Amino acid sequence: MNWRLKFIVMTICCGWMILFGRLVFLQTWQANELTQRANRQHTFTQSIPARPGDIIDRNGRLLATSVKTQSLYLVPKHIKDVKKISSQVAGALNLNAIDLQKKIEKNGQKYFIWVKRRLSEQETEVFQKLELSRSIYGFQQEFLRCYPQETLAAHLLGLRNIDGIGRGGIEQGFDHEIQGTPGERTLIRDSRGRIIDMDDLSIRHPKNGKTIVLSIDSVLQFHTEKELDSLMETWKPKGACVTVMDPSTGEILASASRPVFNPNHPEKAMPEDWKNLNVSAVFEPGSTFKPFIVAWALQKNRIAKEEILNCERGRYRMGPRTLHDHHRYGDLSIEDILVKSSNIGMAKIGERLTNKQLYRATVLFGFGSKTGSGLPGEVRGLVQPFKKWNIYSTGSIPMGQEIGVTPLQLISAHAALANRGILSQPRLVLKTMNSSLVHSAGFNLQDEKEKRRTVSPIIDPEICQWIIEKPMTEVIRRGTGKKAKLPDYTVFGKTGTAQKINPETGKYSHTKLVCSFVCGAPSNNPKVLVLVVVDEPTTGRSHYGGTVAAPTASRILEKVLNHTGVKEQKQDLKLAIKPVH
Amino acid sequence: MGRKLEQEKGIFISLVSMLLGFGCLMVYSASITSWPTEYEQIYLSRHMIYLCLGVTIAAVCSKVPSRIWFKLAPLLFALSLLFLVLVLFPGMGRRVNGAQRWLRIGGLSFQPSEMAKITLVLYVSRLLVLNRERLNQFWHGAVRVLIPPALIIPLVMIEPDLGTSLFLAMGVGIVLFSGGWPKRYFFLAGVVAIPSFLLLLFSRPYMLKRIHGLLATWTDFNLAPYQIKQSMISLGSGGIWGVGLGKGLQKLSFLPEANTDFVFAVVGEELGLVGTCAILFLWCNLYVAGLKIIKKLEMNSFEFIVAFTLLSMTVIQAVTNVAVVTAMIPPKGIPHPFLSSGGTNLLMNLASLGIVLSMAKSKQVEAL
Repeated sequence: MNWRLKFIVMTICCGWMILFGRLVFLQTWQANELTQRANRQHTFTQSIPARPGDIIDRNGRLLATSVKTQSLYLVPKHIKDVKKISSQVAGALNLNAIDLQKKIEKNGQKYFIWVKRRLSEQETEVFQKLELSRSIYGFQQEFLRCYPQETLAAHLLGLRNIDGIGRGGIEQGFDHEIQGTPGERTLIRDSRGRIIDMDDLSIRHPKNGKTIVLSIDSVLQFHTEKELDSLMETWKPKGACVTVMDPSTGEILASASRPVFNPNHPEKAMPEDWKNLNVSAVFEPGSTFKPFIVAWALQKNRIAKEEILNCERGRYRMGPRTLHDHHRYGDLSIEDILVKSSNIGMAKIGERLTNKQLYRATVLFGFGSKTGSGLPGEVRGLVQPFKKWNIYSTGSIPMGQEIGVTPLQLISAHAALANRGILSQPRLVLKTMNSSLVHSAGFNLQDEKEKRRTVSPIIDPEICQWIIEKPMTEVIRRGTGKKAKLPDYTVFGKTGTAQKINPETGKYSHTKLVCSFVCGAPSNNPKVLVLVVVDEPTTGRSHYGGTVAAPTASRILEKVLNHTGVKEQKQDLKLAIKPVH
Repeated sequence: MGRKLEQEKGIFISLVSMLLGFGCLMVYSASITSWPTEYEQIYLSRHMIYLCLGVTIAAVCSKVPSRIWFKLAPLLFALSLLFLVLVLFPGMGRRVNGAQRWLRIGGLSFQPSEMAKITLVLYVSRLLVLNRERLNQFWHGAVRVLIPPALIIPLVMIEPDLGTSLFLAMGVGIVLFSGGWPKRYFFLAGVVAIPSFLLLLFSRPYMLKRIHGLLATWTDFNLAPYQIKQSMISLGSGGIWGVGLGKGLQKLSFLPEANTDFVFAVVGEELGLVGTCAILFLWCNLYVAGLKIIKKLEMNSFEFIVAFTLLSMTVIQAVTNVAVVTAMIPPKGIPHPFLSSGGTNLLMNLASLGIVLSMAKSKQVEAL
């Protein structure tokens, strides 16, 4: 071979050597990076929705559940005749054809746009009759949240929004448990976005959400809401709410608030409908607050049960201001101060306690802090920092002014009195279960005792028993709560009528009132406690806790006592069991 | 002596057969589409038909003695010229992707520029040998020899098919270089050809764009042209061992021309570095085996020049194809010989190797 041939052969060989190097570089050195690029364009990860857990009442009745539905999406990139398709689809699904057309045109290069989510079976059927090409649409399975009892306990339950996120109530408060964990799978697609294979190894199954067992009883809840609705009808207030509680455990048996929304049709709700007054309304409790102050004064030995206080015939000067009573009372026993709800009597007890002890009592009964119910939107109420308390406070706090409370705080504090001085957190959720109710063999509350919530003894049992059985029972027998008497039970209770502060003048209004009534039975062993709060009744004349709230509260109380089968052991009050020390 | 040559021919033919076998596998695998269609089968069947045809042509070519080739060279050249002119007429040529390269004969399409790769080499070699004594005379030595390429290359260029025109020019270059054309002519030709080539390049913006695309591949991968990007992704995702024959995902839709110009990328993805290197190895051996069977020919003879050029051009075609697939040179439509799905290219590549064998045998005849 001459040099010319050698030159050509060598050039070709050099070419091969360079290419060999290049191949080694690409297929080893750069292999990882290029493989990642390949994976990115070949695969995409699709999430598999987890089924949200059910919400059931204490007896296993379904309050919220999830059903499988189909959600429709279109592939705009593959749609040729946009106008025709959009009018067809819009016609079948009751949508606006022009809006849909615009949406498709705007996303013309995309492979996925939602058209309508969670179709009804009927809609799916009508759509499939269109017989569109499979390349331009697809269904994705989604869960539709259903509330079979409609508005029942709506505020407690809340709802799941279109993306399956809990909003309000237990749905939000326990969102983490209810939602579950979605699964994932990797799909292999071609350059046109068509799915050609599924990577079975990569599949991660979804973890379904947990079932939440609430403490409420839907039968009681139903009756409670019925009574509340008739109250709304009678008094046409701005709002009203009820809570029914078992004071011995803190379990909420029923809880309702008005106005209400239907969680199945959230789009129809007005802004004020969302508010659960039980945890988010703050009002001055007025007289319903008085028993706590009396109990604390007895506990601190600042007064004695038998003591008589002079109520100054309805006028009492206290520092720079003068206090008034509705009637000109002279000497009143401690019991009668509560029964007749004497402001002057309470102010005198306040003077004995001093601001420091008044503050302690307020905080001790749980005011100014959240109850721990787990409901979102719960507020702390309003207790001024101690350094802001002054001589006015000494008179105002004992009669339930200068302080803002939520209905749930108020009933929890009353439950402490009814429960022999032990304050326990209100309980709304009894337990969470892993399995759906549908799959579990049986429903038994006893099989899983959840650990008790925080409880703290705050008042001597003896003092509590006296407050419940004497003054608060007398309130019903001969005081402001006569309308709450029940034939078969000894009822105890306390009315409250508070003036609202007029935001324009900053002074107490004479027309805007909050009427409240708390009652329970039986007095010697309280099993049920009911609180009714009515915000600004408008019709009728006499707007007092005893007239507006008490009849409703007692009807609810009677229903609950009958339903739960509470039997009162009729005993002479004198022989009431003394608490064992 | 004769036995040894037969043995070397046997090795040469085996290597070609191995590449052809490899080609059948890859054509089948690379024709699989993401959604099953009848095309998957059609490509393989078509390839088989071309393969049978090609092997027959190669066998015939290898039986034709070199003197017949020598005599036929002007006629074959004239035929190619005729086809290349015909292809430019709208009624005769078929237009695909803006280029008029195919003649339709019967059910099969035929690419005259592929045929020109052989006929041009034959004719230029003949001219060179005839004018061997007068090479130093400018008219006979330089101008007359360059007339055939000057006729053919512009015809191919206006199809347009720049890749093949360059390839034809290279073929002529190898003929002349190996045939002992004086060095000063090369210098002269370079002075004329390089500026005109550059001029051409700048007058066609799409070519500049291709070069820009290539440079982008080296600097910012994301800016690289789609085809090159996909080709490199295919090679890289194969790694060392590949994802397995038939299991590649790139060819399904991402990689364009997976069963023709970019079949080598499919080899890279499915068989990995092992597969690509195996093909490189086969080609190197094929070249060496080819050189061995023509070793005994007289260096300046018609037989040697033709055989050496055709053999080298086939190998260079493979080198060029791999270089395109690995983004070393700008993309130009050059299939991988024997691996890419059949067509005129497969026929002509087999024919040229047939001619190589015929040239090698001719020497044997004369020696006897």
